[in-house]
Amino acid sequence: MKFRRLAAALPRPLILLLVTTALLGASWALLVPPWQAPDEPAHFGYAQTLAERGEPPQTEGERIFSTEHDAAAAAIGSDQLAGNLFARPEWGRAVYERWRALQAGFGSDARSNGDGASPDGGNNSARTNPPLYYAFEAVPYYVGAGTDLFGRLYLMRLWSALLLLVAAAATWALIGELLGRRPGLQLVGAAVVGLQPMAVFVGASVNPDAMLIAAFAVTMWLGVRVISHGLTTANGIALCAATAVAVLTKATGYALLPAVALALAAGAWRAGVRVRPGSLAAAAPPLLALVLPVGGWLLYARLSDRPAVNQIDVGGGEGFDHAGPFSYLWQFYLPDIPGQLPLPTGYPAIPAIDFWIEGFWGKFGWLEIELPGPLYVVVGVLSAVLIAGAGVALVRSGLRRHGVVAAFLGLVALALLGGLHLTEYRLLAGQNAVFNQGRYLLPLLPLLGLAAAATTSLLRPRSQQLVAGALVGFLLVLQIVALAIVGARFYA
Amino acid sequence: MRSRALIAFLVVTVVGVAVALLSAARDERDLAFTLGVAPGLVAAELGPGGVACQTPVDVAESFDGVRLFVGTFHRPGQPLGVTVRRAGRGGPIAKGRLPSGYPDGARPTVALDATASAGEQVEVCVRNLGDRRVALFGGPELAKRDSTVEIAGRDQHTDLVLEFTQESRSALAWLPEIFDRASVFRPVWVGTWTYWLLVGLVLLGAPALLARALRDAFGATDGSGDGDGSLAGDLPQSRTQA
Repeated sequence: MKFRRLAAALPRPLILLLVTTALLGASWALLVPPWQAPDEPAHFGYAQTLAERGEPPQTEGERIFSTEHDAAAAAIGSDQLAGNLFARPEWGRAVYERWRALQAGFGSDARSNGDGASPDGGNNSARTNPPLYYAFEAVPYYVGAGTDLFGRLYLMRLWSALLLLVAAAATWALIGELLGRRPGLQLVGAAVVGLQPMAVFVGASVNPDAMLIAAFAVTMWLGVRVISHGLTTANGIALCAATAVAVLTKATGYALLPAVALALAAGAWRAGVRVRPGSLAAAAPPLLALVLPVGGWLLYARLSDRPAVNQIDVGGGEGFDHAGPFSYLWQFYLPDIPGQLPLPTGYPAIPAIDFWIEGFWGKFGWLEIELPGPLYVVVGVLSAVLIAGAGVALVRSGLRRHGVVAAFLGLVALALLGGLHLTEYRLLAGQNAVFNQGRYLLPLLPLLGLAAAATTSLLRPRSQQLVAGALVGFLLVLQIVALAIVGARFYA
Repeated sequence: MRSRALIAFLVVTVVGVAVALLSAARDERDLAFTLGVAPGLVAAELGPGGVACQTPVDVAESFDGVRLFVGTFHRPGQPLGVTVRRAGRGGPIAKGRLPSGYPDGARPTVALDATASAGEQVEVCVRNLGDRRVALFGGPELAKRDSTVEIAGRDQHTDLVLEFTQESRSALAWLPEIFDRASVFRPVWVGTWTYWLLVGLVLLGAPALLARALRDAFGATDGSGDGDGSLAGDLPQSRTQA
């Protein structure tokens, strides 16, 4: 009954888009071989450790992954396959039957003996992540408890893929909040999120980025609501809770804090809250919705002597001698200039294109599967046009009128980008290692959806329809091409 | 008005899918299965008459050709003989011969005189039939677990780059095998049928859903936009709009 009421409350174009996204998510989830998405072994291992042992992966222990996990990975050759275009997943029925016979003899400890670390100092690379996403993934893990490992892994992927529906729906709402109720524009923007190939690929794997994208989308929508409508207890709690979800999913979520602080302050000002004790008390419940869960996690991490945020080891290696952060940033986005100390060998010529365009739109598997080159040019130009169009739309609509909202959304983007660059710069300086990947920008995908809607809104109504239809069609074709390329890479 | 979004969507989708299908139809493939070894070292160097065997090899799918990765030390390639026999020095299943003259670093496919069947466990031996040395590229032993290269019965702790082939066909013609392969190591409720169903839904269902979504979205009241480029009306008025 509740589901029917919810479905009736949702606009039909959005429902149809969400069904399409779910269909594509299921296709990605079932097509990609086990653990052939970025860091999926570590994320599955974390989820299994949490589900089986009731605690996150440890820093000292006996086995990084469970016996069951290691045996399955060996049977299908997943480690050998990762990033290796010469390899294919094992598809021999005889090997599969041998695996089944092997796992039939496993005791219960074969699932639960992965504690996240090995005696030789090895450990689960995802262990520093907060536990929320993995707790979320415990649901399908338990539902599939009666099945073999692959039954549980694929249920977890399908469950994770649902998070992209949340992101697409939140983008729809975000656009509605800013552009008004214009389903055509909302559909275009939400389709950018729900049909973007990299987002669906990552979302349909076991990876906390799926939850992060959703949390960013919801936070951006709720932040705009708080700014536009004024702070209330309800919308403040919702905004802070969404932010807490992001923070408890991945340290990247901390990038939301400056923008959320701005939204709360602007929303409070709009609601007439001033710096008086009585008024400030009204702001307490929203803040508690953020502070209590995050503080609880920080306290747990402290008491259990584990890092509370992802820690990148920036030292201990051979650092790279470069000319400083300005030079690094210049060369990240632009060709280097004579006399400039170049970035390390092996770094892409213009990393922004490699990471923020190609890696953002589509590099699959362990990044070894690429789209055809011309498609990267198209999506690069498309991205630039959408961003420029959004800028024009913002200027034409009046910067003063929408300045706070623009500052809020800009702060989300800048904080995320700044954090990624700071981390990479430190890593380059300390270890000469590359850090950034295109998927790290996926939490900003709702902004690209908003940009698509805003750019489309600049056109005459007839042109809007043409552009909207063409853009949605292009995104679907991109999905189909990506699925075909990934299928051919793994199985042909 | 209503049809413009639909027409644009259908044109882009139909043209895009047609180009993708055409590319797939022209994409020739012959892979039955592979050991999955990436070339990183010389796994076996064979002098005249030398023999290297990769053993054991689980035959995932029947094959009638073997692709090698051969180095010739900057000289024209030497003739090679390939023998497939049952693992444990069993009887021969198939043989093939690679003529001389191939270039250095080539990846020639050796056609076999018979088909090795799926489900067998075999060993694949390569003999240098020429009078100069050749190098067979491969990787360290862990590149393929439970299988190794032997020369004169001695474990070389390496694996060969070996791909097992069938008759070349377009990627589209391989779809039944692709879906069959994808259904292995999956939940018990997934079968080949699952992928056929998903292909149908993605190629037909998804366009239908999105076409309907576009029609509904642009057919709705004020859904076509006002074209004035404004980001929003008065924001407080949008209180109930999202």
